[in-house]
Amino acid sequence: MPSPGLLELAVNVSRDQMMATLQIPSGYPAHMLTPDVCVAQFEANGVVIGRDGLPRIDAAVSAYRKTPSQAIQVELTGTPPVKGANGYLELAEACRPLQPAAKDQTPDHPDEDQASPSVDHYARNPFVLAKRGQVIAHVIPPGDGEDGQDVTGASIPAHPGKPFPLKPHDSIIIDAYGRVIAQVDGTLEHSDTNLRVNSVLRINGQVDFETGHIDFDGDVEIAKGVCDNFKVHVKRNAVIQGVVEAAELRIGRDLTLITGMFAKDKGTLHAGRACHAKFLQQTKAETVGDLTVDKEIVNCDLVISGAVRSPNASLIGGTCHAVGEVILKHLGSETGTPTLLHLGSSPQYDRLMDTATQKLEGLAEKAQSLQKQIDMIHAGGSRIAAQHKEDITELWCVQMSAQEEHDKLKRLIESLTERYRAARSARVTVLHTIHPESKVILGGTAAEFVKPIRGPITIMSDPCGEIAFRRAASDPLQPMRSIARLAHWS
Amino acid sequence: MRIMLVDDSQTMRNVQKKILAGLGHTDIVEASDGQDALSKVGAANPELILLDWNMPNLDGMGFLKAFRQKNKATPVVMVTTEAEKARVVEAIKAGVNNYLVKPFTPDDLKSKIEVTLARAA
Repeated sequence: MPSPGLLELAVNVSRDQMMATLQIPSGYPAHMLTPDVCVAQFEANGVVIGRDGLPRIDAAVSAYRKTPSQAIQVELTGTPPVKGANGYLELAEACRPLQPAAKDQTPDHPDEDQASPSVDHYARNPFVLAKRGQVIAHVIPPGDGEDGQDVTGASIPAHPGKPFPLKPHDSIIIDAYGRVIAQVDGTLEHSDTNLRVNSVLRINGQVDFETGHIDFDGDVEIAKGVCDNFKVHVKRNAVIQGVVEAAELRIGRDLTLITGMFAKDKGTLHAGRACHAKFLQQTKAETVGDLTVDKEIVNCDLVISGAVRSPNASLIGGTCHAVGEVILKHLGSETGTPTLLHLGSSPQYDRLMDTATQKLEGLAEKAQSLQKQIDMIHAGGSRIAAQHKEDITELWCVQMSAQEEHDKLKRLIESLTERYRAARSARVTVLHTIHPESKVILGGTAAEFVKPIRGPITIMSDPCGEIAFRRAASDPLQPMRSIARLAHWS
Repeated sequence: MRIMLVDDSQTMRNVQKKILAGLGHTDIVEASDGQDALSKVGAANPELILLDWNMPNLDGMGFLKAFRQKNKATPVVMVTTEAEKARVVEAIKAGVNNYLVKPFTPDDLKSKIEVTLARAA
C-alpha cells in the first residue's frame, strides 16, 4: 500500500474565488478516493459544494478509478452575478406606429383597387394621435439582476440595470406607476429617449394617399397642398402652404392658405374664425370670422359671417354673402362676369333663425298642450286618483323641461341676434372699379351695374334705408339709381 | 352622493331620476318595490332614499320598518299619493325624515331633498 503522505490531494482556489480545482495525482490509491474524501478536501480549503458540485466529484472519482494511472482534476465554479436588465419604454398599444403601407400598395386610382375593396385609402393615417390624459407609454423600471456566489459561498452582488433616461417634456408627465400621460392633444413623437406630444401636426409634404385624410384636434401645418377628395378636419388653426384642390377643409379656428384654393366647384372650406388666402377659385367657403384674400376670388360661393377685407383683391363671378363690411379692389370683371354681392346678409343666420323660431314655437305649443292635459285631469273632480297624481307629476316634469329648453333657446336666439347685429355692417367699398354685370344687393334692393364705375366708392344704406353711395367719407350720400339700375330683390 | 329610488312605477322613477340629474345627482340605485329595495340597500349603501308607499310585494311602510331596525341614520323621503294627515303621521312615526305628496313639481322634490339633506347633515 503506497503511503498517502507521498501522494496528496490538493485544492487550488483561484484568486477571484470563482474556481476551485481538486488535483488528484496519478497513482493515488483508488480505493482511498471516495467522493466524501474529495468533499472533505474542498471543504478544508473553504470551498462550499454547490448543487452541481457533487455530480462532478462523483464523475471524477469514477473516472479516476477506471484509470488510476492518470492524474485528474475536479473543477468547481462559482455562479457569476447576472446584471439587471436596463429599463425601457413600452408604448401603449394604441400609440404604436402603424406599419407604413408599401409603395406599391398605394393605388394611382383607388377605384381600381379591386383586390381589397373594403380598404379606404383616403382614410389612411400614419400619425399616432394622443389625447390629453391618455396613457401613452409605460416606463419599465430596470431589473435588479441576480446575485452570484463564489466557490466559498460568498455572495457577489449583482449590478442593477440602468433606468430608462426618458427626457422630460412639458407635454408629458410620468406618474408614480411609471405611466407616461399626455398633457396635451397632439401627435406622438418618439425617438430614442424622446417621447413627446406635439400639439402641432406638421405634414412635410402634401395631403394625399401617403397621409390619408387629416383629422386633428390641435394645429396643423401642411408644407405643400391638399389633393382632390381629401379631407382636412382641424379643431384649431391650420396653415397650408400649397394649393388646395377639390378637398374638404373644416377648420375650427383660423385658416391660412399661403397659396390658395382651386376647388373646381367641388371642394369646400369652413373656417370657425378667420380665413386668409392668396386666391380662392371655384370654392364654396364659409367663414365665421373675416375673409382676407390677397389677389382674386373667382367664381366662388361665399358665406362670410365677418367682414371681407381684401383691398387688393377682385371679386369676380359667383356669389358672396357678407355680414360685415366688404372692401375690394374690383367688383366683377372687365369681361362682364355676373357677380353677386349680398351685403349684411347671412343665409346661415337666416336658416338658423328659421329653425330656432320653429323649435321655439313647437316648445310653446308643447307646454300649452301639457297644461291642457293637466287641466283635464283636474277637471275630473276634487279627488284625484293616485294614478292621475303620478300622471300630473310626470306632466309637470315634462312641462318644466320644455319650459327650460324654451328659455335656453330664447336666450341663444337673443345672443345670436345680438352678435349678428354687432357684426352686420351692410356696406361695400370698391377701391378701383365696379364692372358691368355686377350686382350689389342690400335689403330688398338689387343695384345692377351696366357700365364701369370708378372707385373709390362706398355703397350702403341711407338713413331712410334706401341703397345709396358716396365717393369719400366726407361726401353726402347719393341715390344709387344715378349709377346703377335698381330692382326689387327677394 | 348615492340615492336609492324605490317606486313600482318606472315612469315615476324616470321622472325622479331626471330631476335628480338636474341637481347633479347621477349615482342612482333603483328598486321596484320594498322587497327589491331590501335586497339592494345593504350593498348599495345609499345616502338618501326616496320611497313610494303603495307598492306590490312589500310596500313602503314595510320596507321602512325593516330598514330602520338596522339603519337609523340614512334619511328617507316618502314620496306618495297618500295625503291624509293620519298617514303622514304614521310614516313619520315609522321613521321617515320627510314627506312629499304626489303630484309634485320638480321644484317641490328639489326643495324636499335639499331640506332633508341639510337636516341630516
